[in-house]
Amino acid sequence: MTKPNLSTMPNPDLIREFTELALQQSYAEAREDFARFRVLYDLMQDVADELKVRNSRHLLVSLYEHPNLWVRYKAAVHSLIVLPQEARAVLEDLKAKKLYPAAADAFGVLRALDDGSFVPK
Amino acid sequence: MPFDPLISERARLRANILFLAFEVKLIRLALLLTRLERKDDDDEDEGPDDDDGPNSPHLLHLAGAGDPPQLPGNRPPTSALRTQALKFAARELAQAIQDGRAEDFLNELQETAKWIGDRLVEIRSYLDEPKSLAELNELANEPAPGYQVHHIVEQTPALQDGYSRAEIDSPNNLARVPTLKHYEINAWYQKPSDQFGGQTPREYLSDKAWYVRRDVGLDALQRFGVLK
Repeated sequence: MTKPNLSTMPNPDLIREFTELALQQSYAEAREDFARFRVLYDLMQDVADELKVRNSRHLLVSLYEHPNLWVRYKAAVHSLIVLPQEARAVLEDLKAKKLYPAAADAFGVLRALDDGSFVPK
Repeated sequence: MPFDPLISERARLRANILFLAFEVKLIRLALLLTRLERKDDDDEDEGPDDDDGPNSPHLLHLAGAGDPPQLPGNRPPTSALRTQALKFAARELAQAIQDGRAEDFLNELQETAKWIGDRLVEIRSYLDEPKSLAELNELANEPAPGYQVHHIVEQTPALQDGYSRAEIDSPNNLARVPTLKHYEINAWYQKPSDQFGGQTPREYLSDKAWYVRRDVGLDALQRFGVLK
């Protein structure tokens, strides 16, 4: 996995990169390849940080109805701070669907948001 | 389309009926096959621990590096790969139930992955409704196909941190859970979590007291729909 130069990447490409990383995470989870999942998790954090620097995290709204539920989940988590109501609605929907693992992680983040143990940054 | 729990419940019940019919067909098929051919491999399935690694060529059959997982038509050669395939099938069925295409999915399963007929009980238990903690504790004394006994406070890290076997195996730390949910929960413990700032739940809990481990253990059962 080569690391792209995120700082020169146009916003649409950053969103594509985010989507691909989320998809790869969901495949790694299905294969129980946690070492790969860790690498992908850290790479996604870099993309999210770049979107934050550009004040562009609201662009993740375009992934709220992605066919892959893990992509929806990650888009919602990383845009909670800029779109709190919309992102929360995505997490509530994922939790209600009870389709795992996205539902399980959405459940945890919602509970942590409500008890204050998770504060989006 | 907005999610409607009533429609979903009806679809789930319908799928359960279809599932029964499907199981009967598979039992008939299995009886026929046992008369016709000798079983090629009767090794015990022990869950995901005997995997031959993420770069195994066999794994590529299930899901090549970077490719979406797919249900293999032939019986995967290791227990770990069969478990992954079963988990995939169970998740796909849960999705198909919500989308109202359970019948099509079960027919497809019957056509393309006959080997799964031996393991239907695990897919079926995956669709169980959540139970109370008292029920889960009680059922830990009643082993059943499709279920495993789960330690609410994870046993290996607890042993490593000096907790006694008696505490770890105490009845209120044991719960009977659907086998594939058990694997999902074990996977969740090993995966970086947004809720824990990128640490895995196992890393987060490494220096925590018993009661914190138990709270997280109960939370895990709830989040995967095992505990009410």
